[in-house]
Amino acid sequence: MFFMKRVKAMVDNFLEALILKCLQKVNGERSISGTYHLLKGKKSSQTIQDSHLFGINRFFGIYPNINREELNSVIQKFVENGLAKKLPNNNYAVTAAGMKELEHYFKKYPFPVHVNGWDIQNTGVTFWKRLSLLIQTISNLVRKQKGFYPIQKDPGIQKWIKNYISGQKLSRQDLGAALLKELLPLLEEVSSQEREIFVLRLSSSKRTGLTYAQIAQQLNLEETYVYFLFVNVIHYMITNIKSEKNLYKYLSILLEGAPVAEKPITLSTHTTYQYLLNGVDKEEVARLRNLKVSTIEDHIVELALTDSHFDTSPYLQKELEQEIASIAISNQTRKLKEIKERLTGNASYFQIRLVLARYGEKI
Amino acid sequence: MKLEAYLEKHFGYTQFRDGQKETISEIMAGNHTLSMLPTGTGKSLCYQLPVYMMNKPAVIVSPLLSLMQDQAEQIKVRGEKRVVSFNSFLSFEEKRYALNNLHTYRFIFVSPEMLNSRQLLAGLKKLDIGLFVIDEAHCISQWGYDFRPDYLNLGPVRKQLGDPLTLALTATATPAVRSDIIKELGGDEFTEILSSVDRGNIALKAEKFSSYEEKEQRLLTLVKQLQGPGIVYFSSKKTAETAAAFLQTQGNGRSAFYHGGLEQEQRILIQQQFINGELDLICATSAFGMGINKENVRYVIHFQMPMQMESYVQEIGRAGRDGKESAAILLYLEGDEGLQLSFIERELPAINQVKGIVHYLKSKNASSGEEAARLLQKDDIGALFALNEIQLRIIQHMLLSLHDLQDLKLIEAEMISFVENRKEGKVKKLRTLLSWIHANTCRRELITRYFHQKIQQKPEQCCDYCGIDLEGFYQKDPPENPAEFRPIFDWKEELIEMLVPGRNE
Ligand SMILES: Nc1ncnc2c1ncn2[C@@H]1O[C@H](COP(=O)(O)OP(=O)(O)O)[C@@H](O)[C@H]1O
Ligand SMILES: [Zn+2]
Repeated sequence: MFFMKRVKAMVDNFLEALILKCLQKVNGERSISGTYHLLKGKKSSQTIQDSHLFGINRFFGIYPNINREELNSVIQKFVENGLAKKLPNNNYAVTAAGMKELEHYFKKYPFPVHVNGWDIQNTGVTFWKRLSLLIQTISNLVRKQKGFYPIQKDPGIQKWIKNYISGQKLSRQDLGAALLKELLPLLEEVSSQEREIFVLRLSSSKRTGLTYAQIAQQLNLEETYVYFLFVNVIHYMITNIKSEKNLYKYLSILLEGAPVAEKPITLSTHTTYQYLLNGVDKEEVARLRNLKVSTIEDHIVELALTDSHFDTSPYLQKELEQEIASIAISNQTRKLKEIKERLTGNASYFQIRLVLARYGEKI
Repeated sequence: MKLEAYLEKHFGYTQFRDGQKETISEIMAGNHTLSMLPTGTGKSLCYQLPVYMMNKPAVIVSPLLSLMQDQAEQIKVRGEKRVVSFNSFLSFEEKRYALNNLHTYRFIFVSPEMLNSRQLLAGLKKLDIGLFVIDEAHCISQWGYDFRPDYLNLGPVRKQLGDPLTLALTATATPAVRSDIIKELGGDEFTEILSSVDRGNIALKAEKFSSYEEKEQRLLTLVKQLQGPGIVYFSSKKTAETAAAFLQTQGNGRSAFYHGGLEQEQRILIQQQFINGELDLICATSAFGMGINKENVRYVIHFQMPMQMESYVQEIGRAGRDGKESAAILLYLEGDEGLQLSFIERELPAINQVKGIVHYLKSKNASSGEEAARLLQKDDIGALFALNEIQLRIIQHMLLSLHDLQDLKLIEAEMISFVENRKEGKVKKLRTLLSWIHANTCRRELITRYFHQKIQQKPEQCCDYCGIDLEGFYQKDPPENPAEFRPIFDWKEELIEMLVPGRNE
């Protein structure tokens, strides 16, 4: 009886829908590993580039708790249910039935609009850790309760909050009131479900926060959807706080010095960048660094993705760039091979990737 | 001053618990000590008090990050500020700060892998270490139930630190494991303080079933009848989850599941809810319990048998820390051991994995064990040969103990025999636990005998063989409104109440 029989739904939860969505976007051009690294937020050139290339950088690092076996079994299920199929190259593509299911699913459970993994990255996690510990601490302080078990175990976060509180000129009471004043309008702007989720997640002197599973049960939602709605609130808050710092005096401090707020490039790419800046050409960089030319090309594409001012002209003439871009845009394709075949002249895959990196969002 | 006076002065307690005074006396007399004290009796006090009495710092090695943090936190909650933990959480700046100020701390917690840091070691060497503490010391023994290859480094480290006065702490260790601990720590003479593994206030019971449904129904009945809070242990994450869901639909609203697959914050929440009494029942894997201080757990049920007696004793030991009557009930269905057997298989590298790796190292011309171990790390061999993390650690440990890699055939044979030995040892332990389940004598006696101890006194509520009355453990008053998890929730009121209490009125 533990193993309750269920009618097998096509897509069982929001996470699965997201995975299917990734498969659809990647369109059989990359292996499952790509999706895995994307959701985990792996900071490798390949993952970063692909996330832009396929227009799924919003999902970057959005579900770091994913594990490989879980992912594989979800995909296996898709295949069994006819939502996805295995391609000759061992990658997976979404079937027509899968497309329909996706449409249907996201109509029922709209994708949380503020989620933006690539722009926000780890800031989301740090912000929440700080905010939740801050609220727990204030809630205890204003009641003069001293010893309590901090809900965030990360010693760095604990120390940070200690400094934050002792660095404020306001009394504890006033600090609580000031935070409340900043939080309320932000929460009024998200859906009622979302603000309930947010508050239920918080711990105070009176109660411990609830887990996603517990909230799902209480609000009669599905667990992974609760998770994504929660991320949505956090990303919404961060985006707003960032854009109107003066309105959120106390909350904006929580964003200060949060790790990797800016877009990261991998260390190796950074080294390549230094060489390029010194006028070394890519073949020479490869030789000097004892790497393959293709690796250096990966770095260059990554640079084009992360830095809109990065100069691509040494690798690409303006006309060629325009032709590639217009083929990609008019045919709504990111398939390198297809683009190459449609070109009148000749271009390398590297050059095509470079253009896609530049125009990625528009395709 | 008498020891009791120090105890009162620093901790406000009036009495020592079993084994504490003996341990502290040995330490204060300058003897290396191995103390086996049941979990929850206050092992940490055994090093904390001497630190104040000697006015010298203690270096405490702890195997689990969460455990280390819980202990450091407990010390801080008590008001002691001079505590530092060296673990992977520390940022570069923090580490530098802590290293520069090492002499200011009283309690220096370190994870075993941190002891590989030359800087840290150099810093520690300069200190006048009062006490070198090894928590969960059984982790150093390959025969312990929680072997951690990282711990094998402790012997050499201890030597480098100049053989400081050492306290090895563990909750459960057989004589073989204890002598292994002492040997691995460098072979100095150790005084052993062994408090009895027997917990007189925990009644023991094993029940056998012939079908899964029957066992499941029994679990449901038990958790409905027994006075909580309680813990039910499962051997797989999936079963813990489905059981929790099942129990919830059957009216056990205040229950939740806990296992290592949960994200850290979710785990902390569940733990905290349980400790604060917001939950009555946890369906958990063995990941639950380490470092959790909850005094009033009234029962522990094993829905599936653990792998060995040591784990069993650890797990039931989470009941009744307040000294009040509690129950430990193991539910056994024929064949349950199969699951554990498959875990043993999975935990150890398979023969062909070993062969594959040796072959790979040959192709790479690795010349020393160290180099080979490094190659494993660098080339991501774990993924290549589908090794899980424990398997990888075991192989790395095996490689590190090799000096040269001349004779690969021999090495392969050695590695294989290591794996087989370990497997054999584990299977034997599993069988012993199995025969305990089937035994027709006093369960308490068997447990103490397993640890080569003698029972002091049989309690009235002893075990199902001697006779116990489970009804004594039933709820006195039915829980109020068990189906209702929380009252109606108003997010705004709640948030206001958190930050500006009283404003709602
Ligand atoms: N002598 C004592 N008297 C009363 N309480 C004690 C005593 N020694 C320890 N404790 C308490 O017992 C609890 C468990 O201590 P801890 O050291 O965490 O246990 P262990 O490490 O053995 O699991 C702590 O809350 C501690 O304060
Ligand atoms: Zn008995």
